[in-house]
Parts: sequence; structure tokens; C-alpha cells
Amino acid sequence: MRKIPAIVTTLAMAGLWAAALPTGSAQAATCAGLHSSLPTQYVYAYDAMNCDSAELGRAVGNDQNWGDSGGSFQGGDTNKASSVINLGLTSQVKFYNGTGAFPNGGYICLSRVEGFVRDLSDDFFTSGPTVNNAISSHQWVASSACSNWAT
Amino acid sequence: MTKRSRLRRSLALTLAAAALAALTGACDSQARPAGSESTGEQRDLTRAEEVEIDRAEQVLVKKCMRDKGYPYWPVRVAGVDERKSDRYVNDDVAWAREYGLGRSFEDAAEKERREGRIARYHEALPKKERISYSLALIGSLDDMISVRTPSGGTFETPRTGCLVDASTQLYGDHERWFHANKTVTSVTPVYVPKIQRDRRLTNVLKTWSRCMSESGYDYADPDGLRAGRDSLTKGMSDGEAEDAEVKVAVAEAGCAARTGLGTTARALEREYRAKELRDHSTEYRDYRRMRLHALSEARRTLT
Repeated sequence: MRKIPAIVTTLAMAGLWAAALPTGSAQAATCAGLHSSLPTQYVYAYDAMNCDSAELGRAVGNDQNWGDSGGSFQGGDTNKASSVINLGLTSQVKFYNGTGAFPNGGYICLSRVEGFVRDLSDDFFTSGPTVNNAISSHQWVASSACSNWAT
Repeated sequence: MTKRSRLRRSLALTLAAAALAALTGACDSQARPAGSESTGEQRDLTRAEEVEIDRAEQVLVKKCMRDKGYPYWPVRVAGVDERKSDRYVNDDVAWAREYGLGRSFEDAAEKERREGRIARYHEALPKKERISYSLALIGSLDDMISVRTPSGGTFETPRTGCLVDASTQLYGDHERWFHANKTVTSVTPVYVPKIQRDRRLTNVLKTWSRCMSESGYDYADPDGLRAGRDSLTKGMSDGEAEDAEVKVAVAEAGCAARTGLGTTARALEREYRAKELRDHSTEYRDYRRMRLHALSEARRTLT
């Protein structure tokens, strides 16, 4: 079980999308289906396209290194995500190619309104590389902090 | 985790855009009348003008939600100084003296995210009411607008909801705005790597790096400075860390101003961005025209 940082309260990012969507068992293994059924507040990441695998992790807070033993994404989670879901309320999720306090390597954002990305292979960090299997950290931000969006 | 380390972790990520300049087309020039949109003038917006639009959007969303019978509390909108935090390099010494590496902005944003009124309200709603509230605010995935981007991806966004309603009021045509906005921003990962390889940038970075060395800091570029922030403040008290950050930020800004790194980076971004957008001239024209339209509508809303 992955730990959720205690510093972020459950009040932080009450999600809307999940509650907004119709539920349906036929969609349970897809990003759209999970988007409608998963708990709100979190950002989710998956190893497979279209969220068709076990979760790599989920987080209510920020995580500056998906490959270390701290934060919500740990160990082998770094450089693995192929699909992601944003179920936050007022924030976008900014994913980074790099790690650390100020990661190098570019970023890409996932809007709370657009909700999920089934296939990160046609998305690119600001610095150029593909996003697929290359996310190493994330942060919740306002849309004014983003000029590059995941499709 | 201490307050300082928590803030540092959060702030740091915001500032690490690893992209050049603002990448939004915003500039620092003086505000101008928004009425130029009606004459067909094409220009980018200033950061202050972007703030006006974002504030008006919150007012419009609140009105829409109220009309549907729901409460809504406008979320915090970043001001002009805060938006400067996302620059590739800071060359404003006065800003650096005031804000250092921008820690206070991230503190405020995190507080809003964790303790904002709307988050607390939504969290407390029973599941059924959350569904209704969400549909009113964001709309439904059953009715989506799709946009194919130059890179081959497809953006999808709801066609209804109060966020769409506010966008329609500001930009005039939500679907057309969505198409223009996503197309224009999709060129960012195309041109940024080209700027990073441009010798005009790499040459001035060497000069900036030498200047930083003379001030006692060993960084190859502004990204390196930010990446080294944790090591710079390791073991320090909150006050000492803030002082150290202001000191290095002032050095960065002074060197960027003296060597022309800031002006070079901004000029290169204008050049490369314009070049990439030549292939999307219709969308870019729409993007600029509709942002000016939104500014006019925002001012009408806010008065």
C-alpha cells in the first residue's frame, strides 16, 4: 500500500470529474471507466496504455521523485507511466521528466477538465522527449503555470 | 517534514519549467486598451492582462453556478509578480530582492489548494450531490469537443458546464478558442529544444556562468541554479535559507541583466515561436484575436 503524505489534507483537492461521470462496468478497465469510479482528490498513473494495468501509484500531494522511497510514487514507478488521470478539483498536474527540487528536462501538464490521457506516446515534454515511460515527478499547479498540455 | 522543507519541495517544482521564458506569449509591456481587438490588431497580452481575464473567469463561473443553484468560491488567481516565477531566467534584480526564488508564492498557492473554501465544501458533500455539482461546473464526458493537434494527439474537453460557459462569454466561441489555444500551445515542445541548442543562447550562458562564478556560485545555467537549491540551503534555518535564496537570486538577476541572458532568451523565444506558428497562422490569428476579445469582456465583467 502506498503512503499518502500526511501534509496534504483530504480537503486539498476534492475532485469533481469522477463524480461527474456515469459509471459503467463495461468501462472499468479503461481510463474513462476508472475516471468515473476512482476516489477524487488524486492524480493516478498506470504502466499500460488506457489505464489498463495495476496503478503505479496515486497522490494527493506533490512528489519530486517517483523513483525514491519518499512520496506517493516510489521505486520502480519512475519512467514507467503510459497513461494518467487527474481527479483534482482546482489544480492541473504538472509532470516532469526530471527529479528533484527544480527538475531539468521539461514538463507537460494534464488539465483537470480534460481529466485523463490514455496514451502518452504522442505527448512531449517542453524539452522535446516523449512523455511515455519518462515521467519522474509531479506537482499540482494553476493553469497559468502551464504552456504545454497532454492530449 | 519541516515547514521550510515542505515549502521548498512544493515551490521548487513550480519554478522548474525547464522551458524558456514564459512560453505563454505574455510580456511585461504596459497595459493597453483592449479595444484594439475590434480593429483587427494582433498582439500578445501582458501578464497583467492575463490576470484580468483569469479573475473575470472566476466571477463568471461563480455567477453561472449561482444561477444553477450552487455556491462557488473563486479560486486564487496568481498576480503579475507570481507569474514571473516561471521565467527561464530572472533578470529583474528588484524582483529578486523582493521574492528571492519565489518561495512565498508557492506557500500561498499550497495553502489555497489545501484549505480553499470550494475544496472543503465539495469534500463535505454526499456523493450524489457531488455528482450534480460536478456536472454543473465541469460538464459531462458524454458530450465532448475534440481537437487534433499538429503533433498527432487529440485533445478532448466537455462542451457544457460553467467553466465552458465562462469561456464562451470571454472568448466568444468556446470550441474555436479551444482549438486555437491547444494548437498554439502544442508547438512549445517543438521550438524549446531548438532554442536550447542555439549558439546565441549557449554562448551567452557561458558568459552568465562566468559572471556567477565571480559572485561565488558555480552554475552552468539557471536550471542548474534551481536544481542546486536544496544543496544550497541544506542544514539552514528558515531565515538563513530565505536569505541565501535571495542572495543567489540577486546574483542570477544581476548576471542575467549584465550579460543579456534574459533579453537573449526572450528574443529567441519570440523568434522560434513565431517561426513554428507560421504553419498554424489561422489558429494563431484566432488565438491572439480571441484573447483580446476576452480582455474586453473581462474588463466589462470586472467593472
